[in-house]
Amino acid sequence: MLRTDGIQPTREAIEALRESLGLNEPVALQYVHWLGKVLRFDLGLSLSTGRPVTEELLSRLPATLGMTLASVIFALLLALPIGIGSGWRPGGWIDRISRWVALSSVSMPAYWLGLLLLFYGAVRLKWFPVAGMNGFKSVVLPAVTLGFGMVGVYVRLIRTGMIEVLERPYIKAARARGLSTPSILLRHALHNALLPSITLLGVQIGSLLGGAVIVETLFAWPGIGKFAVEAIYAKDYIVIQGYVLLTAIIVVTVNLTVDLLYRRLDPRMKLR
Amino acid sequence: MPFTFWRKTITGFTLLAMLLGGCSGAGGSNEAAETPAAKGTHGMPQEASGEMTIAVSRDVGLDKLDAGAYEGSMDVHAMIYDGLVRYGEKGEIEPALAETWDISEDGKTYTFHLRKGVKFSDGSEFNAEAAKFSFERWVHDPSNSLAVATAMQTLEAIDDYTIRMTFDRAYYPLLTELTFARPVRMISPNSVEPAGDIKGTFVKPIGTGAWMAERYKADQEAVLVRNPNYWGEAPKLSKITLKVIPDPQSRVLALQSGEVDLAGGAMGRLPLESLAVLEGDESLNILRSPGTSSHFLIFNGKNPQLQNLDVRKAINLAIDKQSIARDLMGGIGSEAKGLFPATVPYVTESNSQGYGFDPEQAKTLLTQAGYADEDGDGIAEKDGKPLSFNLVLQQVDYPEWKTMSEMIQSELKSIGIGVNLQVLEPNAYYDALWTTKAYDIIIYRTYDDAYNPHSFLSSLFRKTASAPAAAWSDEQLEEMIAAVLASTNEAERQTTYDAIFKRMKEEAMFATLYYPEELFVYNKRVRQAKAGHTTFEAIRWNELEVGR
Repeated sequence: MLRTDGIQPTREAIEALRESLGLNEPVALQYVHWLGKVLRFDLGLSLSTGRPVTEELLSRLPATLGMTLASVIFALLLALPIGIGSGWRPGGWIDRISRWVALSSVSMPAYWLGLLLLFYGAVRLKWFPVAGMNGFKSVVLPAVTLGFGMVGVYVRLIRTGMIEVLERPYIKAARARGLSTPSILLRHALHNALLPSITLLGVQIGSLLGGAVIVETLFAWPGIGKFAVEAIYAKDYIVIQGYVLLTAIIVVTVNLTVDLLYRRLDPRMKLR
Repeated sequence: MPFTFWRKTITGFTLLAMLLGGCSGAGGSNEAAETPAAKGTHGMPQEASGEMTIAVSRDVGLDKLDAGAYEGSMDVHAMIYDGLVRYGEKGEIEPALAETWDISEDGKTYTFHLRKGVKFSDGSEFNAEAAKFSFERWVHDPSNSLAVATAMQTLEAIDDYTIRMTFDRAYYPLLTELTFARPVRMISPNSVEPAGDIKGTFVKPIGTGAWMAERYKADQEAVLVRNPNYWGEAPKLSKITLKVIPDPQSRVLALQSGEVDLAGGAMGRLPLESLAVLEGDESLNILRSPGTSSHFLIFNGKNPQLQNLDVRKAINLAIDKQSIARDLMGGIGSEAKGLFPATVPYVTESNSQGYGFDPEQAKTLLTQAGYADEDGDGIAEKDGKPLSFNLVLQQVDYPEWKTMSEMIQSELKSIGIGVNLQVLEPNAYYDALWTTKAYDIIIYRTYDDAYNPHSFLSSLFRKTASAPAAAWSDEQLEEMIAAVLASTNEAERQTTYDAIFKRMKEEAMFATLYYPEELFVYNKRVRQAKAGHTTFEAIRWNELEVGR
């Protein structure tokens, strides 16, 4: 990290850095020191910016969370109607479209999709900006890029859930009572069909944060993913360490929240 | 009823479509969006004349842009702060904040007469005290390797507009060091807290340069505006926005969409594979700025086969330098001749000759040296030992070295020299280069700008207290380099450099490959885009103009 221009640093400079990072101590001691600091939310100082890593990461976290949230909203907005439609009439035309949507969603790399969206949405049509975080318009392309990868999985999951739920006796009962199709689908069936999707959201948060690394770099989005990429290029180990720790904490927290939420959404869980 | 559901579903889709596309206020027809008037919808103030946006690959660090530290973007350093002197064409030293200077007979005392009436961007006055303050903040830091710092003995303000420095040795490139982007430039005592304290904490970038910091959003953008107190000719533009776009492809797209007006150079490198697309775009112009560095092969003097001068000459002759620049690098850059391109001081047409491309002569030289392919495997041998080398490279910092090395491998193969490519991770590569010498041939580059030729020559071709020269070791060469650094006479320096370059070529101490160029692409509305003289002032920002 001293060799940013490929020019050899002096022996004194190397020694001083080694001392300040505590690299002259035994490994076990280094680990204990590190752990002690982490418990006090001290992740050390970034080698490239010289500021506390905790501060650097937390100041960028809202941007990443905002984009991730927008991408989940987009994914659900697209997946819900397609999923419900294809589960309602398996083999129908919505179902056939849904297969293509699902296939392209899971097989299209985010980097390529992002470039395509940039080329058509920003260069040709000039509807959206190419880069930066600047109001609502700037979040659209990154959120679509990140969210589209999730759409396929959700479509299939909602579809399966719908097919299964629509077979249940209480749906037949609802039909017999003469309820309208939308009412049956949206009020009675969807609620139960969505439960697996909630679990999936918890599992997917990890891949979302991973995908954010690519999308943030592509769209110059000032979040933690882009920061981590820069840290990797700069060999800023302290930041990389902090980033890994933070994303691990987020994934664990979200999964825990989903598990706890489950009990409220599905009263049957409480009985067990 | 089914169609009630359909109505709802269709409404849902329509809403979605509106969310995706319709949220843009300009979401009209294609043609409307192509007109210049519609450009304003990007939220960037494109239309107000005198403002432009530049794409940079990383955060410029405006909040830590201390004149005396190695932090943040070098380019912005040079825009905000001025030095005592400036690096002109071919390294000629031009006056900046010092109008004139005197150097004592023995080359150890420098007296600078400062420009009068200069104000920092905050309105405070630039004088000898401010200059002394700027130097004293860093010259005593032992980790600083500049000669200005290591050789300095005294620094005093003689009167309000004169400062004098004394050094423990004569070292002609001292003035050149004072042209650097950092840490030698002048900063206002009000930039630190408490104000005027050399140990104070940096709080704000205040310089005398043509530009001053206006707004900064970390990782997103930095806005510079014209400094109303600038002592030189005022810039034509009133505002420059540096927008962070880390992905090279996104920078290309941002140029095409008109969202940025200029990109390229070291601050936001453009991918060579997009060159054709950019060239074909009617709204864009291309500027090439000749660099000061060059790429070349270092030979390991410990290798017995490379100790043979004919072998070293043969390697030089077998490489088609023209083809590297033309075919591999898309015509960006030129064929290398001597170690340094002609933009470097003391390099002349006559003292910077290369070996050209002549594989037939290369073969003759190998035969003359006693090498012949006896077992028919395509590799020449002598005394049963095949003529084969490992070539070490890295491709993280210099991805182009991979293709260059592959081409060299095949060219050397055709004259009977085997080459085994060894791609290393950057740290391992630099260890091989500087410490372990675990290579036969290694590809490297010369430094940029003001480090050439003196600093590069002394760090590669001179032994240190503990180690032999990093590149080729030659006693005669080392003596000449030592002599030129201490020489106080310009004509004498030129003669010595001529001799240095001649000796290097005669001994074929390395094989030169390629002189890179910086590539810039800018919107046609930008006028007067001209290349500067250093990598950190690659564009002459003050002369840029924009029109409609």
